[in-house]
Amino acid sequence: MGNAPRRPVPRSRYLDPALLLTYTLLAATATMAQAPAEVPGLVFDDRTTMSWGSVAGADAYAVYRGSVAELSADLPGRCHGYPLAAPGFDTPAAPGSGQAFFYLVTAESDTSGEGTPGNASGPLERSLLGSCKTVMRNHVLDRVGFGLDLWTRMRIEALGPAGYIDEQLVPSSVTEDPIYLLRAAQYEPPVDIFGLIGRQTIGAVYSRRQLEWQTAIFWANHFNTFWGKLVDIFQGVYPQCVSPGVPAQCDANFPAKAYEVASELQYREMNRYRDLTFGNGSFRDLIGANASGPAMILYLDTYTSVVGNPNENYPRELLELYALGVGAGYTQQDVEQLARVFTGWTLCKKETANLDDPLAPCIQQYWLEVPAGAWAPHFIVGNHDCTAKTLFAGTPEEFVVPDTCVDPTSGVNDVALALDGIVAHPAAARFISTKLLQRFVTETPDAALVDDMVAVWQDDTNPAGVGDLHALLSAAVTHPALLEPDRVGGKVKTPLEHFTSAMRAVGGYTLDGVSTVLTFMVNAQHIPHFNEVPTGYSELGGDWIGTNNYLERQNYGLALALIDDGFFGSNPVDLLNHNGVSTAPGNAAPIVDFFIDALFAGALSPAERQAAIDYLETDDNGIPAAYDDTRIRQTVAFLLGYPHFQEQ
Amino acid sequence: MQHPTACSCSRRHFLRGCGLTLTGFGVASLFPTPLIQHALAGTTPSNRRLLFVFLRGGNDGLNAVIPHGDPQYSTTSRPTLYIPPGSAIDLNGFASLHPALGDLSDAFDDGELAVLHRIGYNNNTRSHFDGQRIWENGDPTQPQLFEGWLYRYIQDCAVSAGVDLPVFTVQSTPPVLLRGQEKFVNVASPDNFNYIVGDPPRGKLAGAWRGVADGMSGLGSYAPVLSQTGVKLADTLDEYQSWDQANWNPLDPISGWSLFPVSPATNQAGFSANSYAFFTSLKVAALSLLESDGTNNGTRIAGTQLAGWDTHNGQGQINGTQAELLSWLAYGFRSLRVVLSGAATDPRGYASIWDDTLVVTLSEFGRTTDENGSSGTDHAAASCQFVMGGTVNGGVYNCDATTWPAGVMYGVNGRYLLERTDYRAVFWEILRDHMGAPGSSANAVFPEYGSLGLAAQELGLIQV
Repeated sequence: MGNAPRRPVPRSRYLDPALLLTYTLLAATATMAQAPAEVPGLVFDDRTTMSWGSVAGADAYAVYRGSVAELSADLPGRCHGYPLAAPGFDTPAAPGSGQAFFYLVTAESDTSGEGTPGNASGPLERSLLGSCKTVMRNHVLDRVGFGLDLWTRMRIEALGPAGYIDEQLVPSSVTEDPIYLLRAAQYEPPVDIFGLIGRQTIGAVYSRRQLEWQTAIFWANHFNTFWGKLVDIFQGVYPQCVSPGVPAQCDANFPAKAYEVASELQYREMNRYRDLTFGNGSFRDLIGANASGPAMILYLDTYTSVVGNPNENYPRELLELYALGVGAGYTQQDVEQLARVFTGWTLCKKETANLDDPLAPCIQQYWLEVPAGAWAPHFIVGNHDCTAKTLFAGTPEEFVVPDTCVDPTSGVNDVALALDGIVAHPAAARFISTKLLQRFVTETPDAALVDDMVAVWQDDTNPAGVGDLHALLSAAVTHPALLEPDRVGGKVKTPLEHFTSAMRAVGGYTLDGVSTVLTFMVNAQHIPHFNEVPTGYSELGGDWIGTNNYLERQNYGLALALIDDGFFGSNPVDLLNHNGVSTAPGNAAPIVDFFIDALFAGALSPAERQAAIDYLETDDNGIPAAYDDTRIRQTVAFLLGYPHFQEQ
Repeated sequence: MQHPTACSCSRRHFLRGCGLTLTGFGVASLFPTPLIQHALAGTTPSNRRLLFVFLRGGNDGLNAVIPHGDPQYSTTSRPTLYIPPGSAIDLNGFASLHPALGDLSDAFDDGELAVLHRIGYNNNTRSHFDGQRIWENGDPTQPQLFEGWLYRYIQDCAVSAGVDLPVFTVQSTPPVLLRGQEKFVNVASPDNFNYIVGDPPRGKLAGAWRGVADGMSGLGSYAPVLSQTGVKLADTLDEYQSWDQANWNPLDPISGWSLFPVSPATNQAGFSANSYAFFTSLKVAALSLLESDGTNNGTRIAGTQLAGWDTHNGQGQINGTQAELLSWLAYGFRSLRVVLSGAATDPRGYASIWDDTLVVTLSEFGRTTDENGSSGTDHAAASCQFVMGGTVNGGVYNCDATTWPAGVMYGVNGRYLLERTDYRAVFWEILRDHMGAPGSSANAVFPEYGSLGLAAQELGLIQV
């Protein structure tokens, strides 16, 4: 059976060290050694347990499942259980009423690849919606990073999914890509919104510390601030130099100074959240950094909050969006009490040595270069409401921030005390755990998954104690649930993820992270650092799918595949040639299969694959005609516009 | 606080249908067919249309609809911005229109324009973000809710059931007015709503993409909605292409001018080139309504926006920033009236839908009664509003001696125009009496409409 004719579906890869320095994808080649034989004796022992005969040379087994209805429509089964060390599988999910599942099992060898799923009635091998190994490879790369490219593909091949994830959890152990360092340097630091956005795009496309970037983006979005509002405020702080009465603090290059300061504040906060996650920080540290973050103090109006007129904006969002979540049981009264806690906090420019001292004096002439300093949180004792505040009154989580009127300066500690009480609220652990799970594992985490995360949160033996950020991140991305094949395709890429993963998959390039690609981000309404809404950008696919977004993603694929202008684009023809795939006419199937492997892990139905081959082999009027380089590019664009590429 | 990203679906009953209850109708399926829906909702036909234009930034109502009958509108309150009666267009001996709104006169004189004033809501925070959101989400207690009242109307009354393109908006981002779980079509760039390759490759691409979306493989949980969206997009693009908006140039029957200046060749009206984007979006919004075939199978709700109203500096008086925007608005409204009533010189010869169509403005707040030190005005509270259409009871509302007593111009915080009519009362009346929504849907569309007693503020805008 192992010698039966096969449909040419790419099965495994080999490393070519000579290609390491060129940013191209590996070719699909046939393996040399003999793959394991077909799996015999597949039976159901009972309604929920399958077993089969073991196969010589098998290191693991893979189970594929599909619905019988799909089978009649020629849609193959897809990966359902993997990797299985022993020849057995519990499959608890029952089909819907009136439906039935079919199952296929293959044996896989670490050295010689995956064996056959056997033949359908007839000489042709049964097709699979991608092999488990490649499907799970792409799934992991899509979830903990921005999708497959040359380096990540080789790395996950070498380390396996779990090993790859473990390495990504320690960014300092990942040697950075020289191209990334080169391109990123232009935005260290970013001086405007283009820099802020450009560095994210460049990070997503080129950085090897993919999980680190995903994490930084996650927290920056969780604590969303809006560049536009910061600029508005700083345009008042550094106004135009117009006569009469040119003010001393005016900006001769207005509004460059406002852009620069706004960008610096968001940049600093984003880096701070990242550094806390990978540097022994707890959630309590994180929320403290946010509460005293200059960008946040401005964005949600904390700087206007004074005794007698407290501002509820940040306190409300602190409970609702940042720490506890809707439905945690807090009340409007809690918002009002918390608002009084934050009275007296504002912002000013301070000398470098004083940045962490809210009571330290401000630099009066902030527009001068000397003394060196930065915008930092500032506490004005006289503006603070010193009377006691009670949060979560009448609940087990009730706590009091004591009266400080006898020693008003100590009111500077009110925020810290309040944050202690908020983070200790049981809703915090569940809320943050749920958000992390939604980002990495599933949009609908069940209670058991959240419980697993909460247990990690509560473990005070973690290096950062309760709420250890790294332990939580690790718990999410190393949870077995992430590697369940049924999780594949359960999320949708954000536009940034879609655009950058497309570029990575076809070996494309961006010199500055904004040329051309920013147009699409704007059209798709995903502009990092530029979201007016405190909720930030959604992590849920339902909020992204729509006709406008779908069109922008398809148009982006067209741009990426057809443009090659030195600033943005790709060269799919070069890519194929570098990987030993001929682009001379008559080689349509290997060309298409190359990209189906990179973009979809091979997981397309025969009809979907044939549609791409037909596309390549016909002219604009649908008449068969030999393809040229342009038609190859158009076919790549066509594949990029498949709805599957939006799945994550 | 509700955030639609954390779906709190228990508070909404999207599939309830107009006023149906389980006990009253006895069916488990909550989605009536349009025929049954009409029978229960009364005799209002279902081909009523709504076109909204959001004036973003906060329109200075006091200089747009000028309360000359109030002595506090004066050169004392507005040293440089004051517009004397002789320069304005008198409406009812108390209120006048800014001279740049002259193009509204035809509609007003024919009784098809309602000019509203003192429209707003209590405790306006005067924030653009909050204000726009509240005007669009219909709930001042939830400034962070990103779900539209118009969206809730569509869901509650099954407006989109079985219709390919029920909604068509032209804005840079989908308006909150129409945001919710179901996604409607919003076109950010009407001249570019298309694949970025032209024919011939476009046709092959569009057809092939539609086929792939239609038969999408995979068990991923988003596969069905991705598939539907891909097909919907392909069909919408085709529909949109068939409208051929770039080549549609209806003309005024008397002057022969293009009704929608979108280029130098169509700008006999002589507006600045900055107006082209607005007139393009207005044109496309109008076209979407005309192209709907009027039997509940086409676009019924369209909308767009015009930005730039946040005139803190140099607002201008008879001429200037606000005046220019008002002139575009008025010309645009006049053009809408001409083209939607089938009166335009137009080889396409669309039939009139004017008796079924209503055009309405929104704006997040008005502006300070006293001008500031930069010949501008700052954020305030109530403002004016324009409602135009074949079903309108034309006239001036809330701007005469009885409805504009002394002191209202400083009635909020001693600085801002005090509202008299809540914006929700205006829109609910429109939805009920023009669009045909049943009275029982009021609370679903505008939470607490009943318990807040907003019905008492309704103005009688629509002929019933």
